Parts: sequence; structure tokens; C-alpha cells
Amino acid sequence: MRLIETAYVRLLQGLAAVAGVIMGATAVMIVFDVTVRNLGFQPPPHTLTFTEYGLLYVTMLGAPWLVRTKGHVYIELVTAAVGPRVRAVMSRLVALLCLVVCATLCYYAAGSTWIDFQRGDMDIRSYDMPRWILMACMPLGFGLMSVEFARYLLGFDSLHTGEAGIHE
Amino acid sequence: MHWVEAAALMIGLVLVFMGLGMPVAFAFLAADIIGALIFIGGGAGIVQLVSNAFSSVTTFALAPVPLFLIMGELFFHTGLARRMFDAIDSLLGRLPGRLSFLTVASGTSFATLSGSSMASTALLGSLMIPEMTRRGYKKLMSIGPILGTGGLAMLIPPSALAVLLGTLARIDIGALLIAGVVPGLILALLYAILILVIVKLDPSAAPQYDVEPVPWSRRIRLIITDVLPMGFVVFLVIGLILLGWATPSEAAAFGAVGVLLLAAAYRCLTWEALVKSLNGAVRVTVMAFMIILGSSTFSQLLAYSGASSGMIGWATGIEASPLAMLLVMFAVLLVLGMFMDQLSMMLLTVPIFFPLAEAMGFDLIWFGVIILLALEISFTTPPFGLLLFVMKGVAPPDTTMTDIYKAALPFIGCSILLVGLLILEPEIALFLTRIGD
Repeated sequence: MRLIETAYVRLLQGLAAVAGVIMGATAVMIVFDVTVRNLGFQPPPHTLTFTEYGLLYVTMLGAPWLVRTKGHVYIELVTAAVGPRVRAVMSRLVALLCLVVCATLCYYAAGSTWIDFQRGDMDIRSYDMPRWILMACMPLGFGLMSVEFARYLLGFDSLHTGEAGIHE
Repeated sequence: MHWVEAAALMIGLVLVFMGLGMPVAFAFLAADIIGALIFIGGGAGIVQLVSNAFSSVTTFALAPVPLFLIMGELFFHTGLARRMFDAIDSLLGRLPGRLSFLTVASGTSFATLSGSSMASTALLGSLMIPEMTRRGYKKLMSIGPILGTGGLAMLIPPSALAVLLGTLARIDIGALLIAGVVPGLILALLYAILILVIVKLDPSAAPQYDVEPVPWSRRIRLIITDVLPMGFVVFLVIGLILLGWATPSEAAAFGAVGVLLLAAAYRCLTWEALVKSLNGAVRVTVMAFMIILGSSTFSQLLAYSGASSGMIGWATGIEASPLAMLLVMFAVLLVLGMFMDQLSMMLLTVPIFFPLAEAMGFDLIWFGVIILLALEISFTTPPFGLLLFVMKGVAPPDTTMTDIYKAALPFIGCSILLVGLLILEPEIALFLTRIGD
């Protein structure tokens, strides 16, 4: 069981690391593109398109890890004003709501991805990319976020500290 | 559904979910799902939400956000920030209130280079307050300038928040970034004047102390080695946009790679610093983009349900003067800022405020600067401005929230004065944007 959990946490960290690498690579790619263009050579044609796709992947690959590390900004007002017992209930209610949101989006994003795959839909930009490859990160991201919120719901960890303010 | 009910439902849902303590991104997405079910109907509404989420972040206009953040994080984690800070410290000499000035000068440069108010507030707070307390500075003089300059980060480019605002409002991001330069510098100047006045009125607020004199040869060397190279990176970012040689995204990429090369040149680029920087940049980028993800559907639902046009029609129908309308919008942001983070405020208000501003005949770039200032002010508005809490976290343990509130108020006054100047003379913000034309 512990092995599975370790592997799972590594997966979350690994996906976030991939997000970091995509961001770094984007910077280098754009600088190369602009430099080559200004030196009068033909720049690689798809920098802009790949940067745009990269932004979605960065978001979806990093978001589950951010749920685990409580990096999504949230505001503690009511949860700070109530007692610890009510706070624990509220905190689980919030986790449940977030779980429902993520699971719903995971379900519909998976459906959209599957339809794109079956129909062979393309995302037409400078480079025609099969749309399902781009969409696939959404069910993955929202699916893993559902798992993370389920952890909060089941009481493995608590989302709220009881300290008033905006947390991020 | 009548537009009033639709608007109340959508905005109310977000506020209730956020009030419950839901992470902001998920509060917006939850409101989106409910709104989509009601206004678009059934699963088709949620499929539309997924499709919108996809297109909302796959836009090149958002690329400067992660790149500015990488730039700022590298600047902090490689120690370049500390180096520049020490250089400015040596250059100031025996100025009365010198540590407060040092805070404004280095805060302005950090803000410019880091693009993150939170990071520069945290850094300056932990760096400066212990030293100022040791030198007998009153809290007004130690905490106030840090809070003030922390907020400058969103005005002076590279500002990630300006990019996000420009994207949401669909205005020229390059022009918005450039329009923030002069107002940002004026604000820094107003802070400096405020410090001078306070020291003049109450010399004990910032007691004089002996500083080892720094010979001119060393000062010049410091400028050349530790100030100008960082200045060059700022030029890369602002200059490339201003000259029209690169888009904001491209300029941001040059900024990030520029800081990387600079760190390598100073031999302070370590693997650890690189990993920490990317880690920090991923955290903030993902946090912001997850909120943006729900934004396009949110504004679409406001439009689709008739809430946007209803509100704009109502607001333009009451025949208030444009100035009164501007002040009302400003006040709404200040009130929201007491309970909410900047991005949520932008998402809630941009779909309504910008069309309204357009209907009023405002220049949207100028209006964007005013909104950024309102966001900046709300960042430090008691009781819940985010920077106030960051400050509480890094200030000495005997600092109360009341101390922090009192220190923030004169600096908020400076920002409000700047808003007044911008209303009287919009060209302060706009003249630079015409240079590249």
C-alpha cells in the first residue's frame, strides 16, 4: 500500500516537473525563434502553436500536485470564525464540492477527448494537431485532482487551517 | 430569467463558494457548471465549458506569465536580487531615513525584475525589518515602504498581473505594460517624498546612524558590476516591447533567458536555484491559469444570460457622469479587495467594467492602468489585503495587525493621489505607448 502511495506521489511530482520543463523549454524556444528571425533566417514555424499547447499542459500537469501541496489560492473567513468541529465539517464539504466539480469535468473532458479521437478531429493552427492529444491532459488532470480532493474528503489531510486570510 | 436574477445567481454563487473556503479556481468552475446547466442546458453546457477551458489557456498572450515568473524566481533564488540590494545600500550614503529609501529603491527594482508583489514583500520584509528595528526605526517607516513597493510590482513591467488583465479584457498587452511604466515611477517618487516628509516632521521615526563612507571609485564599480547588468535585463523586457521589436511574450522569454545568462556569468547559477525557481514559477502559473480556465465560461455565461448587457444598460441608463461611474467601479474593486484575491476580482469585474468603460468613451489602456492601481491599493487595504498578511508573516513577532494597517495607510494615500493625477492627465500613462507607433 505504501509502495503504491509513494509511486502515486512521485507521479504527481513528476507531472509537475514536466510542467516546469515545458515552461523552461518555452522560454528557450521563443528566444531562439526571435533571434533567428531577426538575423534574417527562417525561424521554426510552430513555436507559437507549441507554446500555446504547452500552456494547457503546464496547467493540467501541475494542478493535481498543487492540490496536494495546497497551492490553489483560497480564502479563509467563515472557516476561521467557526470552531474546530464545524470547520472540519465545512472543510470536508468544500472537498466534496471540489471533488464533484473535478469528477464532472473529468467525465465530460474524457467524453470530448474520445469523440475527438473517434472523429479524427484536428486543432487547426500553424500545425494541425490531432485534438485528442491536446485534450487528453484534461481528463488526466481533473481525474488526479478528483483523487486529491477525495483524500481531503476522507480525512487524510485537511484543506483549512482556521487562520483568517487569503492562502496560497 | 431576468438579467438581475441571472447576475445575482452567477456572482452570488462564486461569492458563496469562495466564502465557504473553496479554492478560487474551483469556486469559478462550480459556478460555471451550475450556470451552464441552467442557461445552456444539460450536458451540452458542460461540454461547452470543457471546450472553453481548452481555448482559454491555449493563447500566446498568456505566455509572458510563466516567463516573467521564471525570471523573477531566478532573480531571487540565484542571489542576484541580494547582490543588487547590497549595491544600492552602499550607494545611498548618509541619507536621513536611508533604510526606508533603500526599501523604496530596491523594492522598485525588485518589483520590476520579479513581477511578484508577494515575493518582493516577503523578501524585503525579512531582509529589511530586522535591520530597521535594530536601528530604531518606527514601524511606520519600516513596514509602510515595503507594503507600498510590494504593490508596485503589478504596475511596473514586467507585471504578470498586467498580462492577465490585458488577456481577460482583450486589450493590447504590450501597450498596457508600457502604460504602467511612468505611473509606477511616479508612485515610487511619491513614496520617497512621503518618507522625506515623515522624517522631517518626526526625525525620531528614522534615527540617523553612522555609515562607513564608500569611495566614489567603489561606487562606480558597484554601478557597473551590480546595477547596470540587472538594468540591462529590464531594458530587454521593456525596450523590446517599446521599440516594437518583440511581442510581450517574446520580450518575457528574453527576460527569463537574460537572467539565466546573468546568473551564469556571476557564477551563482546552481542546479538547486534552477529547480527552486522552476518550482516557484510552476506553482504561481498553475494557480493563476486554473482560475483563468473558468473565466471564459464565466464571462460567456454572464453575456449569454443577459446579465452583462443588462448591467451595462442599467449603468449607462442612470446618466451618471463618466467620472462618477469610474469612482463607483474603483470603490467596488476596493471593497472586493478586502475579501478577495486580485485574479478573482479581475474575473468578476472585467466582463462588466471594460464594456462599460468602452461605452463611457474611456481609453481602455488608461482604464487598465487605473484598474491595476485599484488592484494594487486593494492588495494593501485593511482588513484582508493579501500583502498585509504576507507582512504579518515576516515581521517581528511583536508586530500587531493594527501596526501594519497604520503603516499601510499613508502609502495607500500616495496611490490614491496617483489615481487622481491619472484622471486629471491621462497622458501620464498613455504618451509612452505611442512611441512604438
